[in-house]
Amino acid sequence: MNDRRLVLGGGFLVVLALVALAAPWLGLRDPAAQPDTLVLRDLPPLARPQAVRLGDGSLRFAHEVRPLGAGAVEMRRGSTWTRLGADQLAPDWNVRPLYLLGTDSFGRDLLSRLIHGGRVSLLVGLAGALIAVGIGTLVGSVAGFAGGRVDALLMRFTDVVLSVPRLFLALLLVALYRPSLLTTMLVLGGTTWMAAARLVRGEILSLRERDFVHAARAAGASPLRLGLLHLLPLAMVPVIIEGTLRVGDTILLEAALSYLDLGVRPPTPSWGNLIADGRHSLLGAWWISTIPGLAVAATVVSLNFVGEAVRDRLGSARPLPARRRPRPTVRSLLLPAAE
Amino acid sequence: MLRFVVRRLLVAVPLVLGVLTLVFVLVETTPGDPADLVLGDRPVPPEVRERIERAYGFDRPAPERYARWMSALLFRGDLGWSTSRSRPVSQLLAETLPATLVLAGAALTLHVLLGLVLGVISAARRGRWPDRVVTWGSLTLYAMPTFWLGLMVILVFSYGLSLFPGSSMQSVGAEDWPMWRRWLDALWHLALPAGVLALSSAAAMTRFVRSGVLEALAQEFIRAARARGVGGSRVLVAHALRNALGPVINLIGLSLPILVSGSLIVEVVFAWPGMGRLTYDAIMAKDLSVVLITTSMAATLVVLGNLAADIALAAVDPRIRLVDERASR
Repeated sequence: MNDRRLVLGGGFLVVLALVALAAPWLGLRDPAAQPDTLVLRDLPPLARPQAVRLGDGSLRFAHEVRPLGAGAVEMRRGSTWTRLGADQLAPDWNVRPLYLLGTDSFGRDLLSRLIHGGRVSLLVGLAGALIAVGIGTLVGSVAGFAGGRVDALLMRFTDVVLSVPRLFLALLLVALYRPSLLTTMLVLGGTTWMAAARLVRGEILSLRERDFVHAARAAGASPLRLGLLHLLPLAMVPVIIEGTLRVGDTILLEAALSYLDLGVRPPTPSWGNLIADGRHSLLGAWWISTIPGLAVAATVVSLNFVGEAVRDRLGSARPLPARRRPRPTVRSLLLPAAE
Repeated sequence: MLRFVVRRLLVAVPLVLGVLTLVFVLVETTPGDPADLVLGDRPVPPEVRERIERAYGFDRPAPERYARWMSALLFRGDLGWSTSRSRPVSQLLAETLPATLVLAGAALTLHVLLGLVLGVISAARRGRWPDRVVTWGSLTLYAMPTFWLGLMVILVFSYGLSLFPGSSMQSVGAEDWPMWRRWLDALWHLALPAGVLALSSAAAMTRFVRSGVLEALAQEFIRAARARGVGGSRVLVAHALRNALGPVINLIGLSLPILVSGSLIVEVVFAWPGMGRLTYDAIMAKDLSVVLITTSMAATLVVLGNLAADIALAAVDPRIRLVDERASR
């Protein structure tokens, strides 16, 4: 089971990352270009709109083209017919470019927007998770090392932030500051660090009492050296796992913010923006919202697969419920084996 | 038990006060002049600006405003004035909170039911196809953005099959209908938003119930029950599930923030006239006095929910009370 999760999720993520990184060199259309809103709007996936290649290599899109004889053609956009002489046309004038995922309501190429949007969403997800883990590690380790009043104060603060539902907190922050790519990352990181903080604190508290720490202290290690060199590196394993699981959550939250017009600003594409673009033409052009949502779901499932597979190998990242798991004593023939 | 409840209340009350303070500080530390938020981009003469500042108390130092705001809130129940709607915030809250409670309550019920049923089925058929379907299904649902799931559900059930309405809380003209018909109408409108909210949060519950039941199934008392001749489904529900219930109640408390957050976006997608939509509209209108209150209200709901979960847990499992008592000594 573990291996399959890693292979499936990891494989998808590697392909996704490669495509996202290589996007400028994949020969995609410009994600913001609106070459012909009239002809190209709301084309379904796999559409091949009619186009005419002119002598200078540029494309003119049309609803309909008919040859007039002597090499001239007539093309229709809406209700207007335009005559194009043989001298204006390229030799291979009759082209039907492929739009693999169709177009949106502005006639923009959805494949290109999906990939470029993925770059933004993944970037926001990674950056948000990094910021969250960074703040969390800082708060958690200060609380864990300092103990006493500082610890109590920081942990009560964590409890307070934790009890404000995330989306409300994120919306409040975005509303106070101007929405942009950077604020989105900062807000997402700033509203999701609490789990990491609790995790790091717990780790440090339990590590502090281990023999090797006592030994280091007896050998005269300064508190700073003790913390940075002995405790923090060991506390990082669960933090890294938490970070992986956090990326998926952050991508989901970014999508929600962008959908509400409070995240990444259009025209920059992000998966949330793409879903938002299609919400008003759901009935006529279902694919505009559907496809980016599937991309989000597949990415988050993969991230969770990888995070959980790693967690199961390296130990538990999210704290178990208060009740300790009792070990099964006797395996009965009547019962399925305990997990 | 009473001492336990009192001790929990002593934790919950400072938490709510802390949330109010946090929200106030966040708004306070925003760069920019608060009067600009009220005035918008309109150019106004300085004396008008001064009057506005005095009316809203912007000319006072922050600690004084904090004290005034808090005391008005706590002792007089004065929630402030909505600048975008020109009405008291308390009225807006009174109009929208019931809708949110109905939505969140229905979603919570569905979420727990789904989690229990699917979790038990999954555990009982571990490793076989029902388990796989439930496991994969819940993982996929968990990974879907809630609002997207909402759009898809509207697309299929509202536009495609015309089974359920995709927006609002009642039909046009429902005010004149008899009571029973209005109730049915509300339920009909509730189906999609509550379903979406429950589905998107049921994954954690399902997995949790599954592992809890599996864990219980591996213990000796189950073997003893089977040896006594207790039937398969009875062992599953009356013995295994019952022992897994404690952590489940705990998880209900933990999933409240997710439900309340989710209700905000579900309300926006389904045009549900609740507190989440009010918050969103207020944010778009830069009406901070409303946002302050609704955000605090959402947090209070979470704190109260956790309090209820804690008390229910202690009622179900006396060990919790003992542990808590020992820890506090």
